[in-house]
Amino acid sequence: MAERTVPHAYPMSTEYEFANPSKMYDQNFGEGLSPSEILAPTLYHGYYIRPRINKQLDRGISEISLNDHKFQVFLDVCHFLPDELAVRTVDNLLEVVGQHPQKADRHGFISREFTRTYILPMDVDPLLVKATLSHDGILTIVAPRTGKEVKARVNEVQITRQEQPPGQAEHPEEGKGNGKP
Amino acid sequence: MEGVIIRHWVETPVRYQEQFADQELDAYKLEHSLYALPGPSISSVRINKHVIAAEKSSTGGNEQSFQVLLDVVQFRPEDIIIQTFEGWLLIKAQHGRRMDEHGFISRSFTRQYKLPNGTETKDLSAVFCHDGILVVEMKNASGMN
Repeated sequence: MAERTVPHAYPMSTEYEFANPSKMYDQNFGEGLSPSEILAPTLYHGYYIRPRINKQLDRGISEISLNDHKFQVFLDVCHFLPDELAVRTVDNLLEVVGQHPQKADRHGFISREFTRTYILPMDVDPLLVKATLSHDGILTIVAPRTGKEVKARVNEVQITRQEQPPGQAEHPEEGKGNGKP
Repeated sequence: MEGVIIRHWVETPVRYQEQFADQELDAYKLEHSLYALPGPSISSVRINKHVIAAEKSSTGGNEQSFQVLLDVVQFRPEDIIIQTFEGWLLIKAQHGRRMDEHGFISRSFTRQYKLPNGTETKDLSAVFCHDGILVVEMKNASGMN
Protein backbone atom coordinates (compact mmCIF):
# COMPACT_ATOMS: atom_id res chain seq x y z
CA MET A 1 0.00 0.00 0.00
CA ALA A 2 2.64 2.44 -1.01
CA GLU A 3 0.35 4.66 -3.02
CA ARG A 4 -2.44 6.24 -1.10
CA THR A 5 -5.71 6.31 -2.98
CA VAL A 6 -7.61 8.21 -0.33
CA PRO A 7 -6.63 11.78 0.41
CA HIS A 8 -4.95 11.57 3.72
CA ALA A 9 -4.11 15.10 4.67
CA TYR A 10 -6.30 18.02 3.86
CA PRO A 11 -5.11 21.32 2.53
CA MET A 12 -5.46 24.52 4.46
CA SER A 13 -5.25 26.71 1.39
CA THR A 14 -5.67 26.45 -2.34
CA GLU A 15 -1.98 27.14 -2.64
CA TYR A 16 -1.35 23.68 -1.26
CA GLU A 17 -2.78 22.25 -4.41
CA PHE A 18 0.15 23.50 -6.42
CA ALA A 19 3.46 21.80 -6.58
CA ASN A 20 5.65 24.00 -4.41
CA PRO A 21 3.73 25.88 -1.78
CA SER A 22 5.89 28.31 0.14
CA LYS A 23 3.91 27.50 3.26
CA MET A 24 2.89 24.08 4.56
CA TYR A 25 0.68 23.30 7.48
CA ASP A 26 0.23 20.27 9.73
CA GLN A 27 3.82 20.20 10.90
CA ASN A 28 2.89 19.71 14.54
CA PHE A 29 2.42 16.01 15.01
CA GLY A 30 1.32 13.55 17.65
CA GLU A 31 -1.43 15.82 18.87
CA GLY A 32 -4.31 14.52 20.92
CA LEU A 33 -7.86 15.39 20.00
CA SER A 34 -11.05 15.59 21.92
CA PRO A 35 -14.36 14.97 20.18
CA SER A 36 -15.38 18.58 20.61
CA GLU A 37 -12.42 19.68 18.51
CA ILE A 38 -13.68 17.85 15.43
CA LEU A 39 -15.81 19.98 13.15
CA ALA A 40 -18.61 18.93 10.83
CA PRO A 41 -17.46 16.98 7.78
CA THR A 42 -16.80 18.76 4.53
CA LEU A 43 -16.39 17.29 1.11
CA TYR A 44 -12.89 17.28 -0.28
CA HIS A 45 -12.05 15.57 -3.57
CA GLY A 46 -15.02 13.29 -3.22
CA TYR A 47 -14.35 12.30 0.38
CA TYR A 48 -15.76 13.63 3.56
CA ILE A 49 -13.07 14.85 5.89
CA ARG A 50 -13.39 16.46 9.26
CA PRO A 51 -11.53 19.70 9.86
CA ARG A 52 -10.10 20.26 13.32
CA ILE A 53 -10.34 23.27 15.54
CA ASN A 54 -6.78 23.00 16.74
CA LYS A 55 -5.34 23.68 13.31
CA GLN A 56 -5.38 27.42 13.53
CA LEU A 57 -4.05 28.88 10.37
CA ASP A 58 -0.76 30.11 11.67
CA ARG A 59 0.40 27.16 13.75
CA GLY A 60 2.19 24.09 12.63
CA ILE A 61 3.71 25.82 9.64
CA SER A 62 6.83 25.39 7.63
CA GLU A 63 7.45 28.34 5.38
CA ILE A 64 10.23 29.10 2.93
CA SER A 65 10.58 32.68 1.79
CA LEU A 66 13.07 33.34 -0.93
CA ASN A 67 14.06 36.68 -2.37
CA ASP A 68 17.10 38.06 -4.13
CA HIS A 69 19.01 38.83 -0.96
CA LYS A 70 18.11 36.18 1.55
CA PHE A 71 16.82 32.70 2.11
CA GLN A 72 14.50 32.44 5.07
CA VAL A 73 12.73 29.54 6.70
CA PHE A 74 10.07 29.60 9.40
CA LEU A 75 9.28 26.38 11.20
CA ASP A 76 6.87 25.86 14.05
CA VAL A 77 8.68 23.93 16.78
CA CYS A 78 6.46 24.93 19.67
CA HIS A 79 6.56 21.44 21.22
CA PHE A 80 10.30 21.61 21.72
CA LEU A 81 12.44 23.53 24.18
CA PRO A 82 15.41 25.51 22.84
CA ASP A 83 17.93 22.94 24.04
CA GLU A 84 15.98 20.11 22.41
CA LEU A 85 16.57 21.56 18.97
CA ALA A 86 19.59 21.45 16.72
CA VAL A 87 20.19 23.16 13.39
CA ARG A 88 23.07 22.21 11.16
CA THR A 89 24.09 22.25 7.55
CA VAL A 90 25.51 19.33 5.66
CA ASP A 91 26.82 20.53 2.31
CA ASN A 92 23.84 22.41 0.93
CA LEU A 93 21.30 20.69 3.13
CA LEU A 94 19.89 22.46 6.15
CA GLU A 95 18.83 20.04 8.86
CA VAL A 96 16.58 20.86 11.78
CA VAL A 97 16.45 18.15 14.43
CA GLY A 98 14.11 18.19 17.38
CA GLN A 99 13.79 15.59 20.08
CA HIS A 100 12.08 15.80 23.40
CA PRO A 101 11.85 13.12 26.09
CA GLN A 102 8.59 12.01 27.56
CA LYS A 103 6.56 14.82 29.01
CA ALA A 104 2.98 15.37 30.03
CA ASP A 105 0.54 17.43 28.03
CA ARG A 106 -3.20 17.79 28.36
CA HIS A 107 -3.86 14.42 26.72
CA GLY A 108 -1.25 12.24 28.37
CA PHE A 109 2.43 11.53 28.03
CA ILE A 110 4.30 12.00 24.82
CA SER A 111 7.81 11.96 23.43
CA ARG A 112 8.60 13.27 19.96
CA GLU A 113 11.38 13.38 17.46
CA PHE A 114 11.71 14.81 13.97
CA THR A 115 14.32 15.66 11.38
CA ARG A 116 13.48 18.14 8.68
CA THR A 117 15.85 18.84 5.82
CA TYR A 118 15.66 21.88 3.60
CA ILE A 119 17.73 22.30 0.49
CA LEU A 120 19.70 25.54 0.40
CA PRO A 121 19.82 27.42 -2.89
CA MET A 122 23.13 27.18 -4.73
CA ASP A 123 24.24 30.73 -3.96
CA VAL A 124 23.82 30.47 -0.19
CA ASP A 125 26.93 29.99 1.91
CA PRO A 126 26.10 27.34 4.52
CA LEU A 127 28.47 28.97 7.00
CA LEU A 128 26.41 32.17 7.11
CA VAL A 129 23.20 30.50 8.26
CA LYS A 130 21.70 32.03 11.40
CA ALA A 131 18.85 30.62 13.49
CA THR A 132 16.55 32.40 15.94
CA LEU A 133 13.86 30.93 18.15
CA SER A 134 10.99 33.24 19.02
CA HIS A 135 9.15 33.17 22.32
CA ASP A 136 6.12 31.49 20.77
CA GLY A 137 8.12 28.66 19.30
CA ILE A 138 8.73 29.69 15.70
CA LEU A 139 12.23 28.89 14.53
CA THR A 140 13.54 31.38 12.00
CA ILE A 141 16.55 30.50 9.89
CA VAL A 142 18.10 33.16 7.70
CA ALA A 143 21.00 33.08 5.27
CA PRO A 144 22.13 35.78 2.83
CA ARG A 145 22.16 35.07 -0.86
CA THR A 146 24.98 36.37 -2.94
CA GLY A 147 22.73 36.65 -5.95
CA LYS A 148 25.56 35.48 -8.17
CA GLU A 149 24.67 32.97 -10.76
CA VAL A 150 26.49 29.82 -9.98
CA LYS A 151 28.31 29.01 -13.19
CA ALA A 152 27.74 25.50 -14.31
CA ARG A 153 31.10 23.87 -14.92
CA VAL A 154 30.90 22.26 -18.30
CA ASN A 155 33.43 19.70 -19.34
CA GLU A 156 33.15 18.14 -22.74
CA VAL A 157 34.19 14.52 -22.62
CA GLN A 158 35.94 13.20 -25.68
CA ILE A 159 34.53 10.01 -27.07
CA THR A 160 37.27 7.62 -28.12
CA ARG A 161 36.29 5.38 -30.96
CA GLN A 162 37.42 1.82 -30.98
CA GLU A 163 38.40 0.41 -34.34
CA GLN A 164 37.19 -3.03 -35.23
CA PRO A 165 39.93 -5.62 -35.04
CA PRO A 166 40.83 -6.49 -38.66
CA GLY A 167 40.82 -10.29 -38.15
CA GLN A 168 37.14 -10.57 -37.21
CA ALA A 169 35.81 -8.39 -40.01
CA GLU A 170 34.38 -11.34 -41.99
CA HIS A 171 31.78 -12.75 -39.62
CA PRO A 172 31.00 -10.41 -36.77
CA GLU A 173 27.42 -11.71 -36.51
CA GLU A 174 28.35 -15.28 -35.69
CA GLY A 175 30.52 -14.26 -32.82
CA LYS A 176 27.56 -12.92 -30.84
CA GLY A 177 24.77 -15.06 -32.14
CA ASN A 178 22.03 -13.78 -29.81
CA GLY A 179 22.42 -10.21 -30.81
CA LYS A 180 20.54 -10.36 -34.09
CA PRO A 181 17.86 -12.65 -35.45
CA MET B 1 -8.72 -9.33 -16.26
CA GLU B 2 -12.40 -8.53 -16.50
CA GLY B 3 -13.87 -7.09 -13.37
CA VAL B 4 -10.88 -4.91 -12.76
CA ILE B 5 -11.87 -1.29 -12.92
CA ILE B 6 -9.31 1.38 -12.35
CA ARG B 7 -10.63 4.83 -11.86
CA HIS B 8 -8.97 8.05 -11.03
CA TRP B 9 -9.53 8.57 -7.37
CA VAL B 10 -11.30 11.88 -7.78
CA GLU B 11 -14.08 10.03 -9.53
CA THR B 12 -14.41 7.45 -6.83
CA PRO B 13 -17.86 7.75 -5.35
CA VAL B 14 -18.18 8.75 -1.76
CA ARG B 15 -18.49 5.81 0.54
CA TYR B 16 -21.58 5.71 2.69
CA GLN B 17 -23.09 8.50 0.68
CA GLU B 18 -26.52 7.67 2.03
CA GLN B 19 -25.33 8.31 5.53
CA PHE B 20 -24.36 11.82 4.64
CA ALA B 21 -27.23 12.42 2.25
CA ASP B 22 -29.55 14.05 4.70
CA GLN B 23 -26.86 16.69 5.28
CA GLU B 24 -26.95 16.60 9.03
CA LEU B 25 -23.24 16.42 8.86
CA ASP B 26 -22.76 17.51 12.44
CA ALA B 27 -24.42 14.33 13.58
CA TYR B 28 -21.89 12.15 11.81
CA LYS B 29 -18.66 13.78 12.84
CA LEU B 30 -18.04 11.27 15.60
CA GLU B 31 -19.01 8.19 13.57
CA HIS B 32 -15.41 7.30 13.03
CA SER B 33 -16.23 4.10 11.17
CA LEU B 34 -17.61 6.15 8.30
CA TYR B 35 -14.13 7.54 7.74
CA ALA B 36 -12.20 4.36 8.34
CA LEU B 37 -9.62 3.37 5.79
CA PRO B 38 -10.50 0.17 4.00
CA GLY B 39 -8.85 -2.73 5.71
CA PRO B 40 -9.44 -6.26 6.94
CA SER B 41 -10.61 -5.15 10.35
CA ILE B 42 -13.54 -3.14 9.05
CA SER B 43 -14.90 -5.40 6.34
CA SER B 44 -18.43 -4.73 7.46
CA VAL B 45 -19.06 -1.38 8.97
CA ARG B 46 -21.97 -1.24 11.29
CA ILE B 47 -23.55 2.11 11.48
CA ASN B 48 -25.31 2.69 14.74
CA LYS B 49 -28.39 4.76 14.28
CA HIS B 50 -28.19 6.52 17.57
CA VAL B 51 -25.61 9.22 17.50
CA ILE B 52 -22.85 9.01 20.03
CA ALA B 53 -23.48 12.52 21.11
CA ALA B 54 -23.11 11.81 24.77
CA GLU B 55 -19.60 10.54 24.30
CA LYS B 56 -17.24 11.19 27.14
CA SER B 57 -14.38 13.49 26.52
CA SER B 58 -11.34 11.63 25.32
CA THR B 59 -9.99 9.20 27.89
CA GLY B 60 -13.27 9.45 29.71
CA GLY B 61 -13.07 8.59 33.38
CA ASN B 62 -15.90 6.07 33.20
CA GLU B 63 -14.61 2.52 33.44
CA GLN B 64 -16.84 1.26 30.65
CA SER B 65 -15.84 3.82 28.06
CA PHE B 66 -12.30 4.48 27.07
CA GLN B 67 -11.61 6.37 23.94
CA VAL B 68 -8.51 8.05 22.64
CA LEU B 69 -8.40 10.29 19.59
CA LEU B 70 -5.11 11.17 18.02
CA ASP B 71 -4.30 13.33 15.05
CA VAL B 72 -1.90 11.34 12.88
CA VAL B 73 -2.36 13.05 9.52
CA GLN B 74 1.38 12.86 8.87
CA PHE B 75 1.57 9.08 9.25
CA ARG B 76 0.41 6.06 7.30
CA PRO B 77 -1.35 3.09 8.86
CA GLU B 78 1.77 0.95 8.54
CA ASP B 79 3.78 3.53 10.47
CA ILE B 80 1.76 3.06 13.61
CA ILE B 81 2.13 0.46 16.35
CA ILE B 82 -0.39 0.16 19.16
CA GLN B 83 0.64 -1.81 22.25
CA THR B 84 -0.53 -2.32 25.76
CA PHE B 85 1.98 -2.72 28.53
CA GLU B 86 1.17 -3.18 32.20
CA GLY B 87 -1.99 -1.14 32.14
CA TRP B 88 -0.68 1.47 29.76
CA LEU B 89 -1.63 2.01 26.16
CA LEU B 90 1.34 2.87 23.97
CA ILE B 91 0.86 4.39 20.55
CA LYS B 92 4.07 4.61 18.60
CA ALA B 93 4.25 6.23 15.22
CA GLN B 94 7.36 6.52 13.16
CA HIS B 95 8.08 7.26 9.56
CA GLY B 96 11.47 7.33 7.97
CA ARG B 97 12.85 10.01 5.73
CA ARG B 98 10.34 10.93 3.08
CA MET B 99 10.11 13.74 0.65
CA ASP B 100 7.62 16.54 0.90
CA GLU B 101 7.20 19.97 -0.61
CA HIS B 102 10.00 21.52 1.43
CA GLY B 103 12.62 18.81 1.41
CA PHE B 104 12.83 15.72 3.55
CA ILE B 105 11.19 14.87 6.83
CA SER B 106 11.20 12.03 9.31
CA ARG B 107 9.14 11.95 12.46
CA SER B 108 8.39 9.71 15.36
CA PHE B 109 6.42 9.99 18.55
CA THR B 110 5.30 7.77 21.38
CA ARG B 111 2.17 8.51 23.33
CA GLN B 112 1.12 6.81 26.55
CA TYR B 113 -2.29 6.59 28.13
CA LYS B 114 -3.30 4.91 31.35
CA LEU B 115 -5.86 2.21 30.65
CA PRO B 116 -8.78 1.56 32.99
CA ASN B 117 -8.08 -1.25 35.43
CA GLY B 118 -8.35 -4.73 33.98
CA THR B 119 -8.35 -3.67 30.35
CA GLU B 120 -6.55 -6.07 28.03
CA THR B 121 -5.42 -5.83 24.45
CA LYS B 122 -8.38 -7.87 23.25
CA ASP B 123 -10.80 -5.33 24.68
CA LEU B 124 -9.50 -2.57 22.48
CA SER B 125 -10.17 -1.73 18.88
CA ALA B 126 -8.49 0.81 16.68
CA VAL B 127 -9.74 2.65 13.61
CA PHE B 128 -7.56 4.66 11.30
CA CYS B 129 -9.61 7.24 9.45
CA HIS B 130 -8.73 8.60 6.06
CA ASP B 131 -8.76 12.13 7.39
CA GLY B 132 -5.93 11.31 9.74
CA ILE B 133 -7.69 10.58 13.00
CA LEU B 134 -6.71 7.47 14.91
CA VAL B 135 -9.35 6.17 17.30
CA VAL B 136 -8.56 3.59 19.98
CA GLU B 137 -11.52 2.56 22.08
CA MET B 138 -13.05 -0.21 24.12
CA LYS B 139 -14.76 -2.82 22.00
CA ASN B 140 -17.85 -2.99 24.13
CA ALA B 141 -18.42 0.72 23.71
CA SER B 142 -21.55 1.78 21.89
CA GLY B 143 -22.20 0.06 18.61
CA MET B 144 -20.25 -3.15 19.01
CA ASN B 145 -22.21 -4.76 21.85
